[in-house]
Amino acid sequence: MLFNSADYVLFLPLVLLIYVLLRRVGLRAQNAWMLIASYVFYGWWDWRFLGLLFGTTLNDYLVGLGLERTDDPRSRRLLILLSIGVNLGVLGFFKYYNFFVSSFIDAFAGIGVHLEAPTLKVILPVGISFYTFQALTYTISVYRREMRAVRDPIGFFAYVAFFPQLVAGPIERARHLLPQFFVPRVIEPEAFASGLRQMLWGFFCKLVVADNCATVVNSIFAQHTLSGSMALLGSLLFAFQIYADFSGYSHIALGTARLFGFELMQNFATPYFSQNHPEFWRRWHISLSTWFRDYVYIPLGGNRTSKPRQAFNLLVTFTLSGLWHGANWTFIVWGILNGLYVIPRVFIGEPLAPAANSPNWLVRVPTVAFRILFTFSLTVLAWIFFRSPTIAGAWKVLGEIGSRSLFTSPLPMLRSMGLLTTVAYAVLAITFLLVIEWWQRDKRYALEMGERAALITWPACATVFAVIIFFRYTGASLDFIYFQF
Amino acid sequence: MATAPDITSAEMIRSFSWTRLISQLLVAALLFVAANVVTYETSGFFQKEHEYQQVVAGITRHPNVRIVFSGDSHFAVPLNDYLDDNAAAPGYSIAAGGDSLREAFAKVRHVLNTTPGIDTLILTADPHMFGKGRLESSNRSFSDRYFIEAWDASGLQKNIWSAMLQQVPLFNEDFLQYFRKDLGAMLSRTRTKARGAGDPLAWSRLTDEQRQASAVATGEGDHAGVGDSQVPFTWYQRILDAAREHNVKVIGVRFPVHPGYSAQISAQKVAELDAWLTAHGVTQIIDLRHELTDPRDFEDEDHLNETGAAKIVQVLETRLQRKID
Repeated sequence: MLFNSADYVLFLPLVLLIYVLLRRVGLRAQNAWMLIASYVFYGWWDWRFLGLLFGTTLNDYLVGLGLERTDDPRSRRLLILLSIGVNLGVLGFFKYYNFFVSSFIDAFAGIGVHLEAPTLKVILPVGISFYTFQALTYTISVYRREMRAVRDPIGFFAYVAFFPQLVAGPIERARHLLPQFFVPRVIEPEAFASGLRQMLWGFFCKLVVADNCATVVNSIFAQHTLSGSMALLGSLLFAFQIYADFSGYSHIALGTARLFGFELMQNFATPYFSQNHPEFWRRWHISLSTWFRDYVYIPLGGNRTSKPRQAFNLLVTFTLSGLWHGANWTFIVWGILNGLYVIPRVFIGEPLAPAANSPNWLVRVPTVAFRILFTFSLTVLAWIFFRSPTIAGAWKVLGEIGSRSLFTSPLPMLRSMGLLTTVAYAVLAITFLLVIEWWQRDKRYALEMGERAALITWPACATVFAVIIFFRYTGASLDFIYFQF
Repeated sequence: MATAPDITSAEMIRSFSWTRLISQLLVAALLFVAANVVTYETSGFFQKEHEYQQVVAGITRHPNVRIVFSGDSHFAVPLNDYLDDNAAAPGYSIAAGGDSLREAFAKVRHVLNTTPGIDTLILTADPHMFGKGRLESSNRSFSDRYFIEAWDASGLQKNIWSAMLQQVPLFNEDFLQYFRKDLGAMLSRTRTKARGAGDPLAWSRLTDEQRQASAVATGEGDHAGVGDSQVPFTWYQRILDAAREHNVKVIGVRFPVHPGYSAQISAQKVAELDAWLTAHGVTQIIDLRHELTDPRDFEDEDHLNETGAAKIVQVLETRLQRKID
């Protein structure tokens, strides 16, 4: 089920109403209801994959109990390997089987050996990359004795399948989310209002910014021949499309969870205002980058090693992060590029930091602006690989951007493609997004109003609502980009 | 287990009761309802929707109706005013400009289900109804309500619940497109007046060459991709099935058009269409495309005016051997 569907408009109030009524029955009843609702939510897309969700959850539940019952290091290691093996095995089969087989064949073809191997028509179960990683945080935490195993299967199954963040995150840590299933949840009016406002902002990001950008981006990237200016426009709009699409989803997820009395981790913190790439990765898809930090980078040695080893660890972590996004070399290159952006900081630190923190605004403002623009430009460059279907396609786009045609006007082409108005809407929407997010950059989301009076809160929400109503994308529903991961 | 995480934040400190929140939400809901009412009452889009549905609903004021016309503007322009104003007429037109066969099906089924006594359906047999320009209609959301009434999601873009949500004016995507277009036209001051609007003889005042050029251009566009998609045939079949269920005879009719317009579809393609129509239950095909040639009978290259309507109804009455008007 999509957040931006009519089904969800019916589903959410119904689930919430019954959930609130079940408070009188007890916590387990609420958890059981949440579990049912989550399975319905997931099964709405394709009920056949409920078995997979159930199976991997059961495995992790049993592994957790097993880890709790034994102190034998060898048994515990076997159990954690079983959990990691099953989760990554399922992920590997559904997501990477064809990629690895075809890459293997291509590699041999490169040295003149022609192999034949079967590829399968595997459907990627939506959200598999998210819920397997989330489930792993539980078994690893129990293995590391950071938390006790859960005995109540309903609470545990509800945790893995929790519908607000099941299919596209945030990837929660068991230590943060799981305990919330075992204490009475009090829905406070302030939190409820805050949840609604965060959802509203999420819908603005998705329906107005992301979907209007998507229409243009999809048309531009579908062209066989592109001018440099069109390629640049498509790349810039994609940067905002993916940000608004994914952060929009996260805002709706966090807002929805808050309506039920749950608090999820923040997933985005105005990343495009970052002044360098390490900062960017502390603000972008926070739940994934911290997952890789905690479960890949730090176990590899993290910062407590020599600088060359740190650089290597970073490169490995970012490459794996790229691979997590999809079974395609474009994602791997995207990951490597981001690794390469971060690595120089290990050696040279922050040479512009003194100027960026200067008390003299004539020094500070241009420096900060330069750092933001530089970071953003490198990010857009990497996004080109992320968006292109092939490496060659990405090079082609980059080649056009580097050509003289960069200085031609994109307007005639946009007009002939019937995209001029949509581009205008997209640019207006991006401007609105950036202004509000800059204004509210120290908040968890743009409509977080703190103690501001209703006289400000309500007109602000009404304005955003009106913008959604009148400037939202109209046409066939566009899936959230991160559903494919 | 650990305790619940601390969710206290600055915005949660101030006193804020459920009563206050619910009352604020109620006010917001009331404002939203009011905005919808204002939008519905003032927008040209919903006026069009209202008129569209009134044409269908108007059949209830015609107790003697036996023959129903269904099609697009080729029927609607000459017939709707001509027939529908006469409450005693046995003929009634539910046609609407821009309708595709999907809309035609929705309305025909509604009318057949709610109006007893209909024995004949005069259904458009125009080739352009099978072209790519009629795979989707600008009247799409106007006819959604007939699918919702019949609890039939087959003709809806997503599902019934989604279509019901689209009935809320401010959630209606077609309204939004109309609104934006209107806004764009207003801002760029490019509102154009339709050719000859208000002058029934405007078409006849053009030269032969002008008429020919206009007819060819329109005919080319309208007839692009005729027969390429199965979608129109599926809807046509469903209309025929609905008629069969109610023991209603279906007659396929083509109204007069400029020769330059009809020349844009080959005779062979028309013959293939006729063969399909006949094989699937159309009892008779009456092709009147070349029946009238006087430009004074036309509003433009493919629509009759009121004078033409009177003449063509007479021709039809003769062919059918029964009274329509």
